[in-house]
Order: sequence, then C-alpha cells, then structure tokens
Amino acid sequence: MSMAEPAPPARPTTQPPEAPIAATGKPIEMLSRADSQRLEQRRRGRNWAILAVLAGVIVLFYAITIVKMHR
Amino acid sequence: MSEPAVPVAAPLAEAFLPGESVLADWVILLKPRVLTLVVFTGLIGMLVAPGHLHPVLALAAILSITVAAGAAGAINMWYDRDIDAVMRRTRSRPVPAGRIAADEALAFGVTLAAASVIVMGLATNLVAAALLALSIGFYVFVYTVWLKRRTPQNIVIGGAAGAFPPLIGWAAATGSVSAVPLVLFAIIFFWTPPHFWTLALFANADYQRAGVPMLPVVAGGRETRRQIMLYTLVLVPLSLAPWAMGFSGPVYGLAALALGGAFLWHALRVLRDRQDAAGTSLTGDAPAKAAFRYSILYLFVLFGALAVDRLVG
Repeated sequence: MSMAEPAPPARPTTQPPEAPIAATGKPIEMLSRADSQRLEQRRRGRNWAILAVLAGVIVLFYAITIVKMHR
Repeated sequence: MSEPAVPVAAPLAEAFLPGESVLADWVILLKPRVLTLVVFTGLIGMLVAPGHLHPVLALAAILSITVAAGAAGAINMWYDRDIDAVMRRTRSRPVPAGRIAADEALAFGVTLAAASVIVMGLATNLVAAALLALSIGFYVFVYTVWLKRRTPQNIVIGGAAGAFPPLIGWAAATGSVSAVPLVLFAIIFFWTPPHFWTLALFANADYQRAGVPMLPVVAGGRETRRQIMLYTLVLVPLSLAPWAMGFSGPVYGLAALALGGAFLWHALRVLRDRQDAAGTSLTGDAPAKAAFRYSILYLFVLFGALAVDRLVG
C-alpha cells in the first residue's frame, strides 16, 4: 500500500456550491472570509503608508519654500 | 508588455492574492542595496563641491537622488520581470513573485521619477534636475531597454547611469559641472565593469538561463577575467586624478594608491584563478566573489577618503 500523498495547500480562493455566474459564463470565484480580512488589513496598512508619504511631501515642500524665501 | 514568458514564477504567484504586497515589497522595488552606493557617492559629490547648500535643501537634493535611483530601479524591475522570474537571484522580487502587479510597479516608478526631478529642481537648480532626469532616462532607456539584452557592453555603457550621482550632487551645490565631478563620474564609470563582471562570473548560470548577454556568457570566463584586469588598470591611475589635479591632498592620494593596489591584487587573483579549457573556474569563483565584495568596499572608502581629505585637510 502506498503512502497517501500530502494534502495540497489550501487555495487562496474558494468557490461556494452556488457561485454566481459572470457574464463570460464562468463562475465567479469568491474570497474566503479570512482572505478578505487579510487583504483588507494589508490595504489599510498601505493607505496609512501613503498618508505618511503625502504628509512627508507636504513638510518637504513647506521646508523648501521657507528656506528659499529667506535666501 | 506581455506577461512573463517563463512559467517559473507561476507557483510563487499563486501563493499571493492581488494587492497582497506589504510595505517591504515596495521598498524592495527601489533596490535598496544599490541605493546606498548611489546616495553615498551623490552625497560626497555635494560635500566636496565648492558651493554651499542650505542643509534643508541638501537633504531635499539627497532625497531626490535616492528616490530617482529607486524609481529607475522600480521601472527596471517592471521591464525585466520576465528574466527576473528565471534567475535564482531575482525570482523572489515582488513583481515576478506576484506580490506587486506589473502595472503598479511601473506607475510607482514613473511617479517617483517625476516627483524626484521636480523636487530637485525646486530645491536646488535646473542643472541638477536636468542631470537627474538624464540619469533616470539613461538607466531606463539606454541600459534597461536598449543595451541589457543586446550586448555584452551593456554594463560598460549602461554603467554611466550609476556614475551620475556625484555629478548631480556637485551640480546641486554649485549649479554647474566642472572637470572634478567629471573625473568622479569617470572613476565610477571605469569601476562598474570590474564590479559587475566579477558578479557575472559567479552568477553566469543565472544570466545564461535568462539569456542576458553578459560578457562571461558571450565571450567566456577567460576573456572576462582579462577585461576585468584591463578596466582595473585604467581605474587605478584614474582614481589618482583628483590628487594629481590638486583638488585633494595626500590623505586621498595615499588612500587611492593603497585601495587601487588592493584592487589590482584582487583583479590579478581573478585573472589567475584556476580554470578549465572553457574558462570555467575550478575554485567556485572564489577570487571573483572576493573581488566583487572588495569592489563595493573600494568605492565607499575611496569616496569617503575624498570627503575626509576635503573637509578635514
């Protein structure tokens, strides 16, 4: 008797039994709740990073303006 | 652009969901390891220049050089995603691994490139901004798009892109370009081939698999080792030029002599590495690996010595 193959890694997407059908005729793949939460968390982190960069750019332009005005 | 042609990255890509990148991936896209040398040489160019720049403006200029180099790296990673997927050294990069979409990487790079040039222009002067734009364009269009996949001279001519930072730093401080920053440009220009060809010697299999015509792939290891020695023979006397021109004192001159002597010794070890008839190293390219590591140290210490000489001497 051969050894059972190890289970394949869980796919990042799951397809419910009654998946909605796209206009192309293919079933639409749905994200699992865990994947959805993970994505949302990552996107929130990215938004905060963009906010920090924008704030940095504002400070930089302000500092350049002040220095240039006093020269 | 078409999708990566080679399916090696596919299993990696499946492990991630679109938009699942983390901050570290965006930092990797900027090639931070390359940035350190770029920023350092740009800073030295600014420090040794005769002009004076307000610290805030100097900081903005250095930031611009950093961001511009990172932007060029991001655009390079976007363009090279197909060959990056094949090379062991690069296949876990964010784009071939699927953590960042190719279009996002391109948009990121172009945005940063434009922003860096604008900030440089506002903070310093148009000459520095124009040189910065030229360096980005040179790296993206001349090196990445035109030369890299076509000729073994890719890193010789393309190396000019990496030689711009001291020129830009100097221009930021003075608003002009003179002989000294051009010599600093030339030093990095002639340093680049030995630096990259030592890497290419021990990463030969990777470049071969990706079809990148690096010198060892096209001309073999033996000719590459000879070329490394020739470029080092040009580099060492050239590195003494700032001293010969009276721009720097004995601190730099002696440092350049000692560093150059060690570089020649490394190049000689690479040249005399035990190899088979085809030029393949029989020592696991140990001399090339050592020379590659030394070349990075060489440039750091050489430019550091120039700054010390100018600022302290």
